[in-house]
Amino acid sequence: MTTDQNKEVVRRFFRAFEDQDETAMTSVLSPDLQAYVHGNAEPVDRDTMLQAIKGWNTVFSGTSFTLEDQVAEGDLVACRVTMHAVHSGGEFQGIAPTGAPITSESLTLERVVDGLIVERRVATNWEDIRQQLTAVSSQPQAAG
Amino acid sequence: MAQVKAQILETTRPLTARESEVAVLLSEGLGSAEIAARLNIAPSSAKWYLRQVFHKLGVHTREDAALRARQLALSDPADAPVGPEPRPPGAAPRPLTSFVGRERETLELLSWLDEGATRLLTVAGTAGSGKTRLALTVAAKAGEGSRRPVYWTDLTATASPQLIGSTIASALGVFIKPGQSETAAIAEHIGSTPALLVLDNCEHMARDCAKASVGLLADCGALHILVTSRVPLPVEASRIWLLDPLPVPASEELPLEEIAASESVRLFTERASLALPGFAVTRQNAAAVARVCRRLDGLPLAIELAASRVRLLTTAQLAERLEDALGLLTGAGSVGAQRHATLRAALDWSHGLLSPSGQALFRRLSVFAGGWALEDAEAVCPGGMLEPADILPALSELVDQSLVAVERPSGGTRRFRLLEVIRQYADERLRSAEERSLLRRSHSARFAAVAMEARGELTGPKQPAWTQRLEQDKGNLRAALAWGLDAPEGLESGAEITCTLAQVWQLRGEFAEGLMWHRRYIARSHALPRRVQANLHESTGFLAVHAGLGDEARSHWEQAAAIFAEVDDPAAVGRQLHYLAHATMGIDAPRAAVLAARGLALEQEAGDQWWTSACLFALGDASFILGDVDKAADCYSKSQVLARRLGHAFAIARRFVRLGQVARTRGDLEGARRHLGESMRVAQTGSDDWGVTMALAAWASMAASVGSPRTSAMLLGAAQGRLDQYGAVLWALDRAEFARTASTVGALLGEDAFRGCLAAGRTLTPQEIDSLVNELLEPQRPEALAGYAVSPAIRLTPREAQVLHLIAGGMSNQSIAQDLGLSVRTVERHTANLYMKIGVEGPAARTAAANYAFRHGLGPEQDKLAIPRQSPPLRR
Repeated sequence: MTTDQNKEVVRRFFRAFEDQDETAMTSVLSPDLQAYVHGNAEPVDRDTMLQAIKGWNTVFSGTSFTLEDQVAEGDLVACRVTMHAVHSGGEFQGIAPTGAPITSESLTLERVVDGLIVERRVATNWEDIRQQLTAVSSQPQAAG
Repeated sequence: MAQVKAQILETTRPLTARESEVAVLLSEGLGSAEIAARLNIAPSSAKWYLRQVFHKLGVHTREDAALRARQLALSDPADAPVGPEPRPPGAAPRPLTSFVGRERETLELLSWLDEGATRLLTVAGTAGSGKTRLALTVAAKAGEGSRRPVYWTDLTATASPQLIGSTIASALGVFIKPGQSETAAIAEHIGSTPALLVLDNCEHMARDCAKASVGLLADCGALHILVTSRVPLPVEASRIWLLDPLPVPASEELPLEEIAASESVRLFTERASLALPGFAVTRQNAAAVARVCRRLDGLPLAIELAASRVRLLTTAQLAERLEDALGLLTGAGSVGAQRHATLRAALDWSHGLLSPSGQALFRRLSVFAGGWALEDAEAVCPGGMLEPADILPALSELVDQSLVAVERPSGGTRRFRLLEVIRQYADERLRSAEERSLLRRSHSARFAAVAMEARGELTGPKQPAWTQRLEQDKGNLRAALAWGLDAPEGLESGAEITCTLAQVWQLRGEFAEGLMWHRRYIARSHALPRRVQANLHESTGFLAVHAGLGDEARSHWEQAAAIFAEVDDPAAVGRQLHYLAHATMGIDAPRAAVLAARGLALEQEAGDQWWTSACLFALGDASFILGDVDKAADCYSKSQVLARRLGHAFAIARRFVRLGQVARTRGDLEGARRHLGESMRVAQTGSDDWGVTMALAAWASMAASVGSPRTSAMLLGAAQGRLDQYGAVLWALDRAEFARTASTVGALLGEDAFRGCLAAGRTLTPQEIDSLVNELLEPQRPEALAGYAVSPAIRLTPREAQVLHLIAGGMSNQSIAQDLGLSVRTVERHTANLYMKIGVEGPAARTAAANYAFRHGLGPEQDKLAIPRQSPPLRR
């Protein structure tokens, strides 16, 4: 596999995430996937991560990713990605949905072997997302 | 009426000419007997035509047909006298439905406009609270009687913060000059007069919109910016103005008058009467209407969705069913969260009542960014159970149910859009139906086709209409471009859209955006066919050179040439060599000559007349710069023969300019007048701005040659003014000549007078410029030389001629000495000798000598062409 093909595998993953297409996600994620997300030291497996994505999609809608940068070397692919989503479906860290949009930038590092993502590390600023939502729900509600 | 018919004819199952006439009359409220009389046909025929029309419009009653025709704008008598006038840039969209209530809010916002304290205000509120409609009303009132210019920018379809500036600029029709920041260009357009700029739907980029706003306010001292956003902009300088939903009746038990006066009830009544003409609040339904409005928290959007159902449900049924749908909502969370939950439930409820084809179309329409025309929906949305012929009836259903908004036509095409909150909801539905990937593909294919079609039209007479069309579809084109980068199957069509739009970006000065997409596609280009890769490099070079990035342009053309050579397309290689020759002309003329000659050979071999003519022109320029005037003349003449054969007016005008310059250099002033006169005439007839600018610069040199330095300086000013307006730079040859002429007439007139003439030239009207040029068409006594007797028999030594030429260039004896490697004393001796020979003396001797110089073909503009200097004084 070339680094360009590896980059393409990671792009397919983001696209499948956007489309909420679980079959397509499974087709690029190794059954032995180890995902280091949410700043946890311990990795989670593929099913747990897919479950988490499903959970995300019930809370946030319209999730889209803009790939700002993508570099690859060997079997590693690194991305800087901006995510847009709307908090419309359910509670997030105790905040009820208000339909407010969020924007967040993440750094991800994927290891791709034989066309499958076997390892994934994601750094996201969750505190920033929480603050974006808090700012909205604590607005006073009077006109004028 | 012609427009009405055209629109009817564009539906999937086209109406015949007669059916169109029937539909138009039907929508005007005529019955079948009246239609028969009006069209002079039998009543039974009229009925037969009506049945056809009903069938094709997918309706069953006359009332529905008339309503549908009106709503889909198949006929809109109210619009007819207005005609298809395009909306001016930056004008706010005009919704078809009326605005209800909000009188107090409107007045408050209008009075804010008259304050100077805080000029940035965010109208914040939950989705569906009516922010955009309020802003539209304020914008309309603020602009009434042209009290102040009002500019409108919808940022919904702008996903990337880098594009905020260019979105505002293009909504306002502002041309961004190369190297100019978008903020600066917009600020220049708006100026310091009081104005209102509305930025609609900023929530997804609140931080960046705040930054852009603060920048604009700093540059425009009397500008107010009104922002609508679900979240307030995070800046100190912004006033936050929270928009609550509409007031609701305090109770269902209130007297009829009080209920009917409540703003939410007024909105309900207004929208209900659109669906069911004659609907009113009565003693019987007042309590139920009040209940509906209260249950929906007074949220305007939710009320509109509910009111559009009154044709099928009584208000009591409506209230009851809404209760059921909203009954599950708990009162938990902030007020904002409660309103959000109410709106979601109202959307779920409204969506649940749609027909299956209505639901399918609804979710699929979410793929459009920033609206669509009927034909777009017909091209993109069919699939599965949804046939192309179902689109129109399904769209009618969505319009009836207030889920799709109709915009008044601008530029001849009716456009539809989903309110952003509704689009987001539809998008969720599309994703759950697992259709998003599919739809984005057909959406991208559609807009690739639109771009392709535009490519052919952008140079033709329909250019304004196409430019507007592309502007309206900007969001869709960006979405298609973004998708092409994401999806391997979309990469090629995305790359083709990119190449096609290069010209549009260049015309509008949107270099930053155009180059951004080009660079992104080039980064992915390894997966593209070689030919497409080469096309990408070619159009990147085109944009880069117009953006003033010469090095980048050259590197892309070199890559394009290499790839075209590899795929064995010599004509395309020749084209790149031609571009490279032009881009190299100003820095390395010998190399430019080589490139142009190689390009010429390839194009002649390929038999391409146009590019042969272009390469000849480039070779002519290189030869001219290198001092080979004969060769240049030969190239231009041959190039002109081909341009005339092809009838390309732009090319003909520019070749006339060159032939004129050649004639002047050879001292053939009569020939120069003739050619330059022709160039001006052809360029003006063809609205060729660039050709006119080139011709003006050449006329300026002509004026200097015939001894009219004032006229020359004024024409230089006129040419420079035009260049500044476009942010353009003259071609290398013209640039060098411009600089030489400027230094000559500058020396003749003195710095102050020269500057004065330049400034005066900038403000000349086209008529004044014409009359200046016309004077030059007649041989006349030069203004500055009158009174001097000059003898052609005077013989100067070559060294004296050289010194004279440098004097005419405005140089001091000291710098002449340096330039020629002589001592100052020697130069002074040459000067004294040549003064004596040409018969000038006294304090004005130097100026008089300069005058003599260019009258006798010794001025710098004549012979510097033949003497390459180390560093020509280029004026950019």
